[in-house]
Amino acid sequence: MGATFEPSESSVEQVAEIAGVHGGVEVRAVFYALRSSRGMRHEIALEASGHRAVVDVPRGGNPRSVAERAMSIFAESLAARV
Amino acid sequence: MSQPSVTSQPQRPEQGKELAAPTVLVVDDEESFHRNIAKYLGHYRRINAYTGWQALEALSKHHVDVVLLDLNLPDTTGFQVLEQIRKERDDIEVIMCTAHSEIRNAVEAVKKGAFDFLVKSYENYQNIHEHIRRALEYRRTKRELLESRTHKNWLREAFHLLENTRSDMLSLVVRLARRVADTPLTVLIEGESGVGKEVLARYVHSCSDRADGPFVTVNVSAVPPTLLGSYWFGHVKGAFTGADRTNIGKFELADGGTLFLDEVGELDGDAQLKLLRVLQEREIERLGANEPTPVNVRVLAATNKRLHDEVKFGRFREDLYFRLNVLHVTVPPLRDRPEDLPELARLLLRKHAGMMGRGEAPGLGVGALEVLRRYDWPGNIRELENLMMRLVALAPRTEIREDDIPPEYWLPTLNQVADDFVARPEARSNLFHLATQQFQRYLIRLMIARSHGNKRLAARALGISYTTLKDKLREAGEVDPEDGESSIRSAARVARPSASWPPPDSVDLAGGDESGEGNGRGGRSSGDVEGPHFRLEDERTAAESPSARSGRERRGRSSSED
Repeated sequence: MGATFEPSESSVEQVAEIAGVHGGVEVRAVFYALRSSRGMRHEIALEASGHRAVVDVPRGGNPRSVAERAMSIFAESLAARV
Repeated sequence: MSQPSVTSQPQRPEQGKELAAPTVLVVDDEESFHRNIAKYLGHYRRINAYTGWQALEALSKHHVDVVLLDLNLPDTTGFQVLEQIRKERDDIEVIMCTAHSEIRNAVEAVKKGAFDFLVKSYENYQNIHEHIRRALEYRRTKRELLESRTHKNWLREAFHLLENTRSDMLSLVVRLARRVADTPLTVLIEGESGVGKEVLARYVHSCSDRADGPFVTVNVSAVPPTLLGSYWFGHVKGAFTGADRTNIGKFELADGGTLFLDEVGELDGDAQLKLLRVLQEREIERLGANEPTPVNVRVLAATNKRLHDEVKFGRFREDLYFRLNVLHVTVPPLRDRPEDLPELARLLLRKHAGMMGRGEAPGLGVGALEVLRRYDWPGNIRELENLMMRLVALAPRTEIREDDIPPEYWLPTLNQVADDFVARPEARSNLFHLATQQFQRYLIRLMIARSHGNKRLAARALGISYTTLKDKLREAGEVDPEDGESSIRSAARVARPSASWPPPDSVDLAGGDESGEGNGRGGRSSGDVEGPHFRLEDERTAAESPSARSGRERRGRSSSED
C-alpha cells in the first residue's frame, strides 16, 4: 500500500561529527550512514541550545555541504525563536 | 412623448430552477421587442429599459450579467451606451440588437467592446437563449483569465510587501525564508489561522531554484485519513474496485517543485508515518504498485498548532517533528504588526477591485484606517481580506470612509473614544454627556451614509424625527449652509456612479428630467424590473409637495419635542 513499505535500513552507523558557532549559537552535527538494499543514504542530526532537528540527505547528495548550510540556518532560526 | 408601458410583474423562479439566474437587461424603445424577447428568454431574469438613461440607471441599481442593447434609442445611441458601460464595467457582456444590418455597424460595435451583433429577426429571437449562453461562457473564461492574472500580480505585490514589511518580527522571518529557499531543507511555518502562512510558503518557493516547478497545496485536514494514501501517492489501474485508470498523487504532481502541507498538525499517526517515510527516502509508492517511484519534492509544512506541544502530549511523532523543525518560523499575527495594516488593506482592495472588474480600487480614508488600526483582527489577514472584498463590492464611493466599515469593527474604536474622554479634564464632571453626544454623531453619520445621504430615511431608521436629526447635525457643525444639506449627502450624491451620464448637453435627449421619472417614457421609472417592484423611500419623499413636506416636518418637530 502507498508508501507503507517498511524501512529497509539494515545498518545505521555514526560516521562523523562536526561542531561550529553560527550567530553566537553553538551547533553540533552528527552524521549517520544508513545502508540498505536500496543503497546508502545519510541523515544529519543537528543539536543546539537543547533543540534538535534532523536533515535527510537525498541519495547521492553531499552530506557535508548540506550540513554546513543546515547548521547555519538552524542556528539563525533558534536565535529568531529566542 | 407617450409610450406604451409594461406592467412589471414579479417573475417567480420556477421550482427546481436556479435561484440566482443570470440577469439580462433588455434596452429597446419598442414594446414589441420586449414582448418578443420575453417569450424566448426562458429562466433568465429580465429587466426592461426603454432609454439609454434608464439602462444606465438600471445598471447602477441592479446586478446585470448581459445587456441586449438596441442601436437606436430615443435619448441617445446604443453605441454611446455601450461606450459608457465599457468605461465603467468589465463584467457585463453586451449584445447589440438592431433592425439595420449594415456591416459597418457590426464592426463598430465589436470595436467598442460588444460581444455580439444581432439583427432583429425571428430566427435570432428564437436563438437568443444560445447567444446569451455564449456571452456568459465568454465572460466566465475572461473572468478566469483575469483571476489568474490578478492572482499572479497580487502574489507579486504580496511578496513585495513581505520584503518591505515594517514589522521587525516578520522581517526576520522573511530573511530566514529567503536564506532557506535555495536549500532542500524542510520548513515548518507556524502561526494563527489567516496570518498568511501559504503566502510565505509561496514566497520560499518563488525564491528557490524550484520556482519554475509546480507549487502544490494540500490541506491535510480536508482529506479523510482513509483516502490519504491514494490522495498523496496516487494509485495504479486496478489497485481497488473502481480504479479504472492510473492516477498520480500530490507528491508526484509536485515533482520538481514544492509541496505545501497545510494544517500538518492534523495528521493522524498513520499519515505521520507515511510522511516520515517520504521525507527519509524521497520515494513514494502508488497504491497497488510494486516499485517505489523517486520524487524530487521540497516539503513546506504549516500549522496553527504549537507542534512542540503536540509532540510533548504524544499526538505528533518526534522523529517527524525533528525533520520539519530545521527551519521553524512563526508568522506574527496581524495585531502584532499594525504598521503593515495600511499597505495590506490597500493591496487587498486592489486585488478584489481587479477580480471584480472594478478598474481603479477605492482609496482608504484616514478615518477608516483608524478604525481598522484599532481593531485586533482575531481572523488576521483572512478577516481583513473578507472585509476589503465586502467593501469593494458594496461601498459606492471612490474612497472608503469610516461610515463604510461595519459596526462590529467599531467596538475597539468606541473603547478608545471612552478612554480618550476619561483622560480629558473637562470630561470629569460631564463624561456621560460628552461620550453619548460623540456616539450619537457617529451613529447619525453612519445611518446617513447607509441611506445614501437621505436624511429622512436615516431619521426613520434611527427612530427620531427629521428635525431632531437636522438639529443634531447642526450641533455637530455638519450642515451645509448653501442648501441646508449635510456635506455627507452631497458627497454621496457626487459618488453615485450614474450621475455623470448623460453629459449635460445630452440631458434634453433623455427628456430633461434627471430624476429618471417623466423622461418621456410615460412616467415609467428607470428600469422596470421583472421582479418585486419597488421605489426607494427617498424618491417618494422627494416627490412630496413643499407644503406636505413642511407639514410633516412640523409634526416631526412637535413629536421630537414631546
